[in-house]
Amino acid sequence: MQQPMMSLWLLWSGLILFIITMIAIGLVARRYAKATLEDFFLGGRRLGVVLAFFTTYATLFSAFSYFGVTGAYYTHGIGVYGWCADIALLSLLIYVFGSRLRAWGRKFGYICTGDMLADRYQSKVLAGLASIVFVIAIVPYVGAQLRGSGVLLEGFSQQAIPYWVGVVFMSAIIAVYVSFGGFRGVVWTDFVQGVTMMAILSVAMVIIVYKAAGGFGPLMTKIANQRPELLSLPGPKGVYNLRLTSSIIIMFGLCNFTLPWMVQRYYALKSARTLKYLAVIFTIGTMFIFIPNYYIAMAGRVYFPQLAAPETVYPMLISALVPTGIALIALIGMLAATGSTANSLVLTCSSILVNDLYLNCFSHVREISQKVVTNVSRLLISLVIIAAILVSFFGPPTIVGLVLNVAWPLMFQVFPTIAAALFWKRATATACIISIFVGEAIVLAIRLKWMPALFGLHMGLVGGIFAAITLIIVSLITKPLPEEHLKKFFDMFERPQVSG
Amino acid sequence: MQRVSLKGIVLWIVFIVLTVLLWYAFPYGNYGWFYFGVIPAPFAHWIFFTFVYVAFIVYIAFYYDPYRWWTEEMEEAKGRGE
Repeated sequence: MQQPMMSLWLLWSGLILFIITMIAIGLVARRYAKATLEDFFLGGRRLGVVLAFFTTYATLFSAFSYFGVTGAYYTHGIGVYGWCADIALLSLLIYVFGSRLRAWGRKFGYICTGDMLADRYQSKVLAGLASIVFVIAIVPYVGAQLRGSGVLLEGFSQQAIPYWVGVVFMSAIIAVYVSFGGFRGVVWTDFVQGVTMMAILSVAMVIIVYKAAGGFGPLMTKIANQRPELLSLPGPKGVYNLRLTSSIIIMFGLCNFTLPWMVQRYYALKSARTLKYLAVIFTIGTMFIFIPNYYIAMAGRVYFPQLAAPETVYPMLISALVPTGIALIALIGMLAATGSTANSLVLTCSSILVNDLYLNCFSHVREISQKVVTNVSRLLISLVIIAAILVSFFGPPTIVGLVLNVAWPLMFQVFPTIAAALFWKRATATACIISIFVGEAIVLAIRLKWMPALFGLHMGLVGGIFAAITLIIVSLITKPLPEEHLKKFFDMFERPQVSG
Repeated sequence: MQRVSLKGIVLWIVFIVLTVLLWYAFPYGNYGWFYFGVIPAPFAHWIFFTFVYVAFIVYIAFYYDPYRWWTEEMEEAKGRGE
């Protein structure tokens, strides 16, 4: 039987506590900040293991993980874990790619991906193009997080708090603590939000499973008897077959090195050892999201067998089965999930606009003081949030759709360019520019059904394959970069000659 | 291209084999087969191989560590004359 809705004053008390905590962290972070771009966007490159883990964790696992993944488990069963666990693929790549990104970022003072591309390929046009792709992909992503906040508060309060209040509520909090605290504010709030997310999800899983089915064993027995196809691949609708799963795993695993907010975290790490620890811990930490989500979704299958909107299964179970106090904390945890992703995206988006587009493409403004640039960044944060609010009201309606079919496929087309920058000296700027256009064109063509998705692969991966082939062919027929210029980047990676 | 050692190539092959085992070879089938009565078999295999994977990453990053030439720990060690 469903519990009565928690009282509105209790709900608002919890929300106000959430606001005060987040803004207070932003203000404290400001006291430690210096008026430089490096400090505002990378916290002075002094990110340690614990903060690195939680900021990466809280940033990567958003409303998508809470609502989208749980809903996908509910619909498709255990096969969804296959592409969630792409993080295991990511772990080795964090070491392989992240080490180089971090080393260059530290040596040459990069703040964004665009900095690196402009310098490595000697092309501000390429950096500008990549940055435009990133901004186009990020703004709707932030909008999706704001939409998640609005829908969540509206649903939890049973329409007592209108959708627009939830959107404006989260936008205002993010604007304040990101503007004040910069990267430190984001990292510290991510720490609080990450701990909340991880703890609440596990506690909620135990309560929900025991109340819905009487324990983990009885739950699995019921699922095996009622819906056995949810326990095997490719799932009841046959969606998670080998081809789709493998293409999503490859795209998600590799795309992490294209996500500008992840690249900034590699730049910000204190040491190479921190990066190694991150690669190991992150893989294990991922299980604290995707394992509880599975059992929650299966409990949802038992308690609400035929949900019309599967993405609402987690908040519905919380509302129906979890005691009021814990439900309130769970609500804050869900808000934290949306807020922690949105804050990092907003900060990264403003850094791209300032650093990659404004400063790189209009180099005459280099003479402007760092303090003025930091203030311009704060203004741009507000503009990015306003754009995201507009998306949350007028943009596409689902979070999963935005992530899987818009944001990540768009950004993935820049991956061949970044990988070639790190590992292939022969790659040229012209080839990279053409490859990005080819990749995006393929994604658009498949999305608009002008061409079929080849071999049943995800459109993002198909675009990425064409982009990579284009990059190789055009690089080989265009003039390579000067050897002296390349030495600056690659000599540091050469193994020293052992004499004697 | 950077030079890749034979050991590096072997480790990449091991990595790919582990990936295939993790995601494709083990999870298929297994209706209603549980470990400890609560962990569905495909899930358990994924979790087990994720830990095998983690052990592999620990070996690569901390012991084999092909990048140790240019990390700043090495630079610091050089600075100390080690």
